[in-house]
Amino acid sequence: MTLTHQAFPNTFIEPFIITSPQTINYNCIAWAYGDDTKWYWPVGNYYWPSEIPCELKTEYFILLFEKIGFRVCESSDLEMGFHKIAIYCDNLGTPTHAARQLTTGKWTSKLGPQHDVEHTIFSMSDGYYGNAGIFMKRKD
Amino acid sequence: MIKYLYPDMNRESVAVSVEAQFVTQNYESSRYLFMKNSLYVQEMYKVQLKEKFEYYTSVWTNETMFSSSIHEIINNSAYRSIVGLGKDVIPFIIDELKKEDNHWFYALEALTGQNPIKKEHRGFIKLMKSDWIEWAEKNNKK
Repeated sequence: MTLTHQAFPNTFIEPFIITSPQTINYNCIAWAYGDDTKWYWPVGNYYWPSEIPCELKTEYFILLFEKIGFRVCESSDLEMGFHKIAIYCDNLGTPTHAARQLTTGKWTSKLGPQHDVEHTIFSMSDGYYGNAGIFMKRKD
Repeated sequence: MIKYLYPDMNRESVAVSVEAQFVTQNYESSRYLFMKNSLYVQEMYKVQLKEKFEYYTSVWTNETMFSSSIHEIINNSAYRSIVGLGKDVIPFIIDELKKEDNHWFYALEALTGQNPIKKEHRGFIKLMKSDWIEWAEKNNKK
């Protein structure tokens, strides 16, 4: 099943593909991290590793993914032998979203409390989450 | 945390004109005057409060339907309006939470001054919800 929505204008050109039932049990950061049991966010009541400062700053989202072996890289291009994630930010540079690259080169995202979707960088760009500003990779 | 998130939560709404302000003040005065003695006024108040709560809830869920950011979710203006409705909405929130999992935790914390979420439950929505429902049952807020 596909998803198009005005919050993501490019989905009218390249629709998202829905890949899971709707659930509020986890969010995009957890999904990119590889955890589908918790809602990750740097604020008191939600999950955030205690060793990473609990503030809404890009550098701390980078630290979160560095914790599991990712390092900042330059592009979203598929590289054999590497996993990639993307951190999305709004116009002010505030983190809003994260996505994880699939072995096909497409990306998988959890849309807040909604579904998981498969998408391209283009289809999610210039939408509700802003744009992918940081890419990180780690060896398989 | 709550003060940081809701620095102006106690601010009164401002009427748009002198006439509107007059009507608002008289309506509020009448309501408070008759609230204690009139079951009808009490019921009417509850019905109106529920309608406002449902309206703001629907705006909030619609406007944050794709959001992962708890900062964005709880600073949404409709969410802040729900908190602004005061403690009388706590039972509505608990009912809503029982029906459907959602991010009501900061609203409840702002309205009650309590936070029953266990440290080890942070991020587990169902467990966070259970902690609050248990709190509501213990404190007769259901």
